[in-house]
Amino acid sequence: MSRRIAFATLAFAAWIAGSTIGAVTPPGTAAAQPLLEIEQAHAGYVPALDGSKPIFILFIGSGARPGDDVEHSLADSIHIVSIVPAKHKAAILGIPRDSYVSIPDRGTAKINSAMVYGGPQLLVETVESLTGIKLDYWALTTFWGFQAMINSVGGLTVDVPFAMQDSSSGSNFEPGVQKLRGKEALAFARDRHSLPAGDFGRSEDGGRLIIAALAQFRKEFAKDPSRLLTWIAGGFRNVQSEAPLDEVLALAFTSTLMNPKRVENIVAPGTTGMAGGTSIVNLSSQAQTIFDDLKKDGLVSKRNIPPSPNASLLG
Amino acid sequence: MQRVASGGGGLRLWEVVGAGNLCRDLVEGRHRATPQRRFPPAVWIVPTALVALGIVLFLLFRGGGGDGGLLGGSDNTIPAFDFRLTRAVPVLVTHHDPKKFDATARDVGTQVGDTMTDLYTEAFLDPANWRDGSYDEVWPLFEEGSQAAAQQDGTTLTLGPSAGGQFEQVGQPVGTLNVRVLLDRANQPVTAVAIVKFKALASAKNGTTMAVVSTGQYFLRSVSDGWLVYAFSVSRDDHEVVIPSPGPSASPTAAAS
Repeated sequence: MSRRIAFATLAFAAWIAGSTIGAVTPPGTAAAQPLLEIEQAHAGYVPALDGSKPIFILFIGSGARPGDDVEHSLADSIHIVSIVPAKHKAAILGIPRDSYVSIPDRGTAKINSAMVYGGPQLLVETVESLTGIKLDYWALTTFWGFQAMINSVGGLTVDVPFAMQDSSSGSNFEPGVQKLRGKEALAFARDRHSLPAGDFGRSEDGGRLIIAALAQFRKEFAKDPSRLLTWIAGGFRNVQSEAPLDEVLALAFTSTLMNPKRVENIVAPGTTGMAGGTSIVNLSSQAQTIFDDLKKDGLVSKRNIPPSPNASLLG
Repeated sequence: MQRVASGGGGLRLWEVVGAGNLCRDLVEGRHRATPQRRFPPAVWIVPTALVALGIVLFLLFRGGGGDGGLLGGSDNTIPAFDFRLTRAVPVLVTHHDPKKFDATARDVGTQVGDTMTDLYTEAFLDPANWRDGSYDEVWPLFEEGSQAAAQQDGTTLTLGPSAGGQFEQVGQPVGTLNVRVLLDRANQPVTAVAIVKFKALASAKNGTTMAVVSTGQYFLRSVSDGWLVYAFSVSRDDHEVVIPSPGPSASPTAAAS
């Protein structure tokens, strides 16, 4: 009987001991893991391009009117946009539409006529010949396509740097941050009469709109990534391009990492003149320096960046 | 072997029959100078075995009634879950009427929903994963290029590597899914964005209940046998919730909503 009691006592003691030992958490583990972790965290990844080789895109604004052949009309605006994925940087180089340049197999003429002769492809060849830069893509839009594109994203917030009033383009802006609908954005981009440097200043304002678009896109993407689809669709519907959709998606993701404040906005410098009774722009030697610099790594060194053509208005 | 009691003087020793005989040892001169008290092995084996048994039983049934124990039966089952597709919208790069592609968007939405349901089930609901803090079934749902980033963000994209130490049980999952589908120039789906809201209740080992909340957006691309994630922006906002005391009106679902 006493043996049974001893067994029972021993078993009970063993149960208590076992439970106690089993309940003890190793001190190291307890220190490393709080009992309860409240999670408030964010995870994010975009498949941005990361190559060091710059990507060059030619943005063309066609001067076509409704009913015209969009691809064979005078180019109204010409901008090279370079993107350097590895550095999350970009540069915009405006080429004045009246630049008097050599057009392959067509002699010397205003650069905007290249598209009349041979469509966007000849304009690409002309720009490549002028700058030495191999362009990866081109994108062509129209006045109405541009407006529709801006409207498709609900307008563009632009910091208008100075007062602009021009009946030709329809611009009528007080300086300051404002939301521009498509029609207003087009007026802002086309106004040259309010600007002392005329077409040079206008070209810079075109770059200003591209930067404003980048800033707004980034802001919207951060808040609602699915807005990327809206921007891409709005762009594709109103822009002609041979760029494949998946590559445009990759570029769009890449641009979400770019700081708009670090985007260079440059206009190729030159002087106005006349050729055969027509007003032209003679690009200066500094323009060639900028082309060479841009070609090298997709960016322009500070020492080669010319003063803003709108400097007198910017104060 | 038979065990018998021997000895006296108030001291009872256990000796195995046949193991030795003191009288015979003395006669044969094989006695020890100082007689040694011998404790039969059973004295040590039995308590040790019982202690070990106690540890094992405690580990198996800790928490009471099997709840949260390793043998918890239903605790190892994966809670039933499916994302509820609330909206599927086509986004066109052409000037066609988007309404004509509503059915395409819905189809894609359903397929994307399958991927997202798999992802959240593996990442938050399958006890076999979160108890071990091992989420190997989650990463193949990401495209190769995004897998490393997803694993780096594993604490946000899953219940976490230490979930097994924190939680007893996870259940009552609810989730909604809003899908936007980008169609290419040929009006074929090329990419989709899944906008998800997910919530589940996790009973913590300290007795509190946590709402596990994950909201975010996943970009997916079509592959041969489904859709895989290639970009994501996801937030976690877990917080403690108070479950109403049991009663006729107490509804855990209400707490989860």
